Amino acid sequence: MDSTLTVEDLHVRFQSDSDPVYAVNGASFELEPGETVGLVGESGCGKSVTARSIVGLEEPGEIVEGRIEFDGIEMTTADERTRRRLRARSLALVFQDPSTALNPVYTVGEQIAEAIRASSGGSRSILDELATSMRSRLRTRRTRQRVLELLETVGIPRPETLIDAYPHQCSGGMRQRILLAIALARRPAVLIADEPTTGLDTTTQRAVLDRLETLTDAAEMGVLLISHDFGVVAERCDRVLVMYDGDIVERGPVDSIRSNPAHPYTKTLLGCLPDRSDSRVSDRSDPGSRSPTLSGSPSDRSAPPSGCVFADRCSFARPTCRERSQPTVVVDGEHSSRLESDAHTVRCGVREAREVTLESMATRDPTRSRDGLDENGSSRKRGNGPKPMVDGGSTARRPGTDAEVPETSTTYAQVGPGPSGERSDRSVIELEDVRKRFRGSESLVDRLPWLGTDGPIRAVRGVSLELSAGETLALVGESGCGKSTLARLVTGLEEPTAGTVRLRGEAVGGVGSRTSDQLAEIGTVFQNPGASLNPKRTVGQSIAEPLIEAGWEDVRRSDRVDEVLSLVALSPDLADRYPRQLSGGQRQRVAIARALALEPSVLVLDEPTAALDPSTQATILALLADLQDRLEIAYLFVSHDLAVVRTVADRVATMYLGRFVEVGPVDRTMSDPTHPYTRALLDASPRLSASDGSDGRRSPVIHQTRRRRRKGVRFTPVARPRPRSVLESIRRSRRRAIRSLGACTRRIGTADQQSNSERTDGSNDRYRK
Amino acid sequence: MIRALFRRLGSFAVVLAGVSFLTYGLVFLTPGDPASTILREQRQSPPSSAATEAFRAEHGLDEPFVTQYVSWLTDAVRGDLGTSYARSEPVASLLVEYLPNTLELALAAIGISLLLAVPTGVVSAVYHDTWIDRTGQLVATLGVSMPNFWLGYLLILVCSLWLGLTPVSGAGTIGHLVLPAITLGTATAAVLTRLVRASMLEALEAEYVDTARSKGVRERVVVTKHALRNALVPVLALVGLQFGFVLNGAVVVEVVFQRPGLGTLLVDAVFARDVPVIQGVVLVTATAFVSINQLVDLASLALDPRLEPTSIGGGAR
Amino acid sequence: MSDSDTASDRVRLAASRFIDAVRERSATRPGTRLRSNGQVRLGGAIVGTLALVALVGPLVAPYDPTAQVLEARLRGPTLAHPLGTDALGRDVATRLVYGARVSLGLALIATGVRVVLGTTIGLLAGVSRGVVDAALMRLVDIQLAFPGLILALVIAGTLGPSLRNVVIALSVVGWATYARVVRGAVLGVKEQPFVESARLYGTPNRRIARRHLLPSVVSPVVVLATLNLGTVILAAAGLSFLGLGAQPPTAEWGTMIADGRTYLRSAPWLITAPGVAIALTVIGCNSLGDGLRDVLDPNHLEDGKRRRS
Repeated sequence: MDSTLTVEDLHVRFQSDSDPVYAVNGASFELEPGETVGLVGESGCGKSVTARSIVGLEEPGEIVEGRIEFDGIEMTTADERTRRRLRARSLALVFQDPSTALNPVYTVGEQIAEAIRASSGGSRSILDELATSMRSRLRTRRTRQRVLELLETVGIPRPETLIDAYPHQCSGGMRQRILLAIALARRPAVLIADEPTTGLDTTTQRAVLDRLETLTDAAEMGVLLISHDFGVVAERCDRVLVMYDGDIVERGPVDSIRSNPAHPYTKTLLGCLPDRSDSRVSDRSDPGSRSPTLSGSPSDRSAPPSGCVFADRCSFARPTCRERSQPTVVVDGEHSSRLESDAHTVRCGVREAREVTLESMATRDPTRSRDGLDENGSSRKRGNGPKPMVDGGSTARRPGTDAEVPETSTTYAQVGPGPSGERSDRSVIELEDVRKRFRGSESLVDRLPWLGTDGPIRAVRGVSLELSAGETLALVGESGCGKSTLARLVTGLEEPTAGTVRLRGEAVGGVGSRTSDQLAEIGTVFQNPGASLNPKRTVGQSIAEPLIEAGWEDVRRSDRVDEVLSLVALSPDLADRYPRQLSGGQRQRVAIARALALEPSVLVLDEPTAALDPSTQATILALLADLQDRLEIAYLFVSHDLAVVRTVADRVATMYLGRFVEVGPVDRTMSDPTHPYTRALLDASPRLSASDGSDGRRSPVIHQTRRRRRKGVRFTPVARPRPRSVLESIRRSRRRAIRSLGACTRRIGTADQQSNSERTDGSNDRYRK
Repeated sequence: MIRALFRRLGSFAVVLAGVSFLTYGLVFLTPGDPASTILREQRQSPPSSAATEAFRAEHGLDEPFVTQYVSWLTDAVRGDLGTSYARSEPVASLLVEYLPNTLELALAAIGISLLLAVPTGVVSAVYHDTWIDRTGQLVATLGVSMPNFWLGYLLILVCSLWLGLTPVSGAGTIGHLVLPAITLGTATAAVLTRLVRASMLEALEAEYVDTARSKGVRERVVVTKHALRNALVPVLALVGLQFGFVLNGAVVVEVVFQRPGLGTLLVDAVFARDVPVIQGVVLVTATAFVSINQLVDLASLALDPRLEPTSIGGGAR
Repeated sequence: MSDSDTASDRVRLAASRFIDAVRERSATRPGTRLRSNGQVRLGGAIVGTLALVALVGPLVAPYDPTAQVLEARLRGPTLAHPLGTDALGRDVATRLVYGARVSLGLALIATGVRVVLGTTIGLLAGVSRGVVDAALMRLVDIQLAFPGLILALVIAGTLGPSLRNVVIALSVVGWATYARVVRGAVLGVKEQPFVESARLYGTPNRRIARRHLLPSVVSPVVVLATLNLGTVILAAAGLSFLGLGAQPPTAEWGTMIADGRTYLRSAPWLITAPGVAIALTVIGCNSLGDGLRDVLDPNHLEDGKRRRS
């Protein structure tokens, strides 16, 4: 029996209200038994649609062309019954989102048992099936035993406690494992995992992937691993398929692609990976090594593309690229002699584009190739030389302004606090043994002593820190560790239960009790750029709000709005737009501009890039670095993403269960963490370089670390600021490095998870009522 | 769980107290002096001041408002809702006499509407955007938009007067129940159909439904076991609220079909300014409505495990 | 802990995500979507026509709505009387046109009062939290504990039968739904970063309410009010039918049905015409409201919180 999965020239189309959308345009590949193939690409490139089409769940899309063959059966023409049977027995799909992919009203055990029943193929009547589902516990001893085994296989420590639980009672990692168990219940020949770890934090992510690898290796299963994260794919796969706009633009063995990417898109994708190895500080400060950034966005695909799909964003594009479909070229190299399915091939006919190296591509001026990308239409070409990168194609340069720094910023330096020696010696913000408790419930009944079992939630448990002028302190930790609460305590959105927050030496309370000068000292940028701007007000109105509150007059106000917009490299023309007319990156720039309006000396940045695309993320980080250079602002940078932190921070404070467990300079903390928890966090983030991938040092899972935590290893240090000069020089070099690097950093999708947990609280509230 | 129950009971008590207070206070909305207005209404002529005084004393209307309310409430708790002015009968026994008719009507109406709504809604959702769906939607729109008293007369005209299938008015037999129940149930059925359809659409789009499909489960099982079960949670909540709507409608429908019931009792009492009866009926219907919604909330707990605040191995918030 | 909300909010199907992404890129303005929405068009047309009839109709109607022509009693539809005449020989069509004025005017006023009262209370509760919020929401609970029409019936009856009292009764019983909706919307917006930002640069609460909170509750309130118009028309007709609303000889749809029921067998057109008029109006309002909701609040699912009175 040949259980090779063959996809040939697959085209999938969606019928939207107005025009059809072509999600997949001629994807072809094979998946042999026992091999693991990665499918990478940006979100929306057609990866998920491909996966769903393979198992016959492409609706509401339709397969308009192509073949999907498995087990001698042509899936596209097979009847529903056959497709269903294939799904039940040999083709398994693990869905992306563990929080929604499990039915909330059935127990975990029942949902796994259902898969077992379906695969054993007994034809039970509907009534029978419904009756089974009505019982909350699994009755049949044999099924129960099998479910327990499955749960154990996927790495759930005590399956008996979980089998009768409902999905909402399990953590995200558990749910992902349960989905895996459902997939494995039918002992499939092919497992398709669609972003199996995207919503999870890095430690869980690694644990789940490890487990997946072990299981599929053992069972000789073919695995199609879908991810937007090249790092994940590179670490786990034999071969990689790079998908762009519904087509596979490059394919080949993972090493070959990593060392020698040929398609311009693959190059940008690889360039977007942050450097996660331990000892590359010197490389980063070298302005010569930089990676290309990706600008523009994928086409809207309202028509089937005729030429190269990437042409519009490609700096090597030639007129013919758009007209002719690109030839498949075998990439020269050691692998060319292998079997055809193993060969490294690329769909790009432009020799220059294929052969350019990552490094030289970066230095190349990314001249805009398409007019439409320029939103303000003013300047299509940027000058030579390194510049802060601008997302969404809207450059801030007005025609005729050649200077790298807009003139307005000079004004700022005069108006603003400026770098004055005597102040920067002092700390701007000081926290002294700050604690914050939340009541578990607002309800009156819960506060009654004899009924209220909701204990208080201690979000911050005694934290002390100092933030000096002009430095960047990063707060890292898993979601729920209290880092956001700490940031809110600094801004005054929350008031500490105990301890003091000092701003320039004066103790301050909540927002309501701060003077307007004190309020002006701290600017805040939130995670979600969509929600931090009032959708009903224009950009200009939003930015002007703090100025109105501070009592600025009309004329000065609109000047200032223009000024800060240029400061964040946006055209002042954008002032009349509404947030929905802007891209995510632009919105975040506007949010930064608003935070800067009152010339603060501190910016509190709560996951400012977590909700953005990797490439946009990089440009925002570059902008932040640039701003700090020019304006001497201190950053309190909250993030869960160590790669981001490594590029921006001077010092890092690791937070765990409401306490600082480690505070130190970024280089030391990142290369040689003293606290086991920090080490666990570090180990959990995936690496790219080949040397790291193969070593036996697998991450200790966080749970274990927690259990092993000894009482003695607890840190509550008050960090000493380093002498100014050293700090300054390190920062300068880092800045330069970042700007040139353009290090598009990758998001380890905890962003989703966090917003998720926030919303969960809201829904709780609703249910309680 | 116990805490949740206590919280519920707490707000339930507060609401009931407020309801009783408002119910009692309603009478004092009467413009002018209640006693003389009531007497004028009863006797159709201006009462003498002596008669008014006597009436006041007899019904305790000369006491301060709070005293009156407290004594009314304490009596009400004991089951004594006073005596009807117009009929000189205890209000409680009037209620006992009329309540079953109304309950019967309300339950029949809700039963009919569920029988109509769930299948229609599910089919509409499964055949989303086809002519089947559109027809269902159209009928539902008509259903919510028709005034029920008008629908009642149309049904009487067709079924009773033209076809002679059912009795025109009265109560007691199944035949007497059919037309009023349909009249009353139509609007509810329409509202429920729309909700079933909407929440089925939502459920069918959920990823867990795709998970079920990817397991190779049959489509019929996917629809009933996975989608419908989830879709029924909001439907149940709405059924509770619809009970209030049905009680509203019962007033009018009972008048149309001249069925003895709380509705006809209330309308007569309103026109006769029979204060104790008005208070009694309002108190009973409001209490019934609130209690049923409490029960529905508890039933939702059973239907949706997420509503139960327990958690395994995670922070219980 | 629970994911029910997230289930609906989070990324759903790859497909819908896909189409959404494309749609967002060609971001259409709400105005365009409004005009292209079929339900909005249909409802708008019906309600618009009725409003026009109510405004202009009485000026062009050939008969006096209250003029009794006893020799022309209970005539069926003829050319002179397209909808026939009633028991007192009055032209049904004319009375219908005059009735539109009463029904629509009454519904507009009652809904307006509900909106103002409910929005104020909801805003106050949402902004203040704590004791004030708890007290106001208990008040809302209490109002919602009464089956609406029964309460309105009692209030209107106690105040005495008249159109004005029906308006008062219907205004008093319907505001609580608005208060709930507005409070919910306010609570949703209040935690949004853009409101927190406003707090961060020292915007006073009152200005936050006016600048950020109020605009966010406008669309749910508009949708609710449109849907509510239909409900109020039905309720008012019901009260009039029971004899509490418009008093004879005023032409009102509910009263016309009440008057016509005596002649159910002999003159069925007497109840048909006003019934159809009511149904049509309500269809118009509902369709307009549903359409508005689709446009203004695409994530909406009828969640049973909506109440009819």
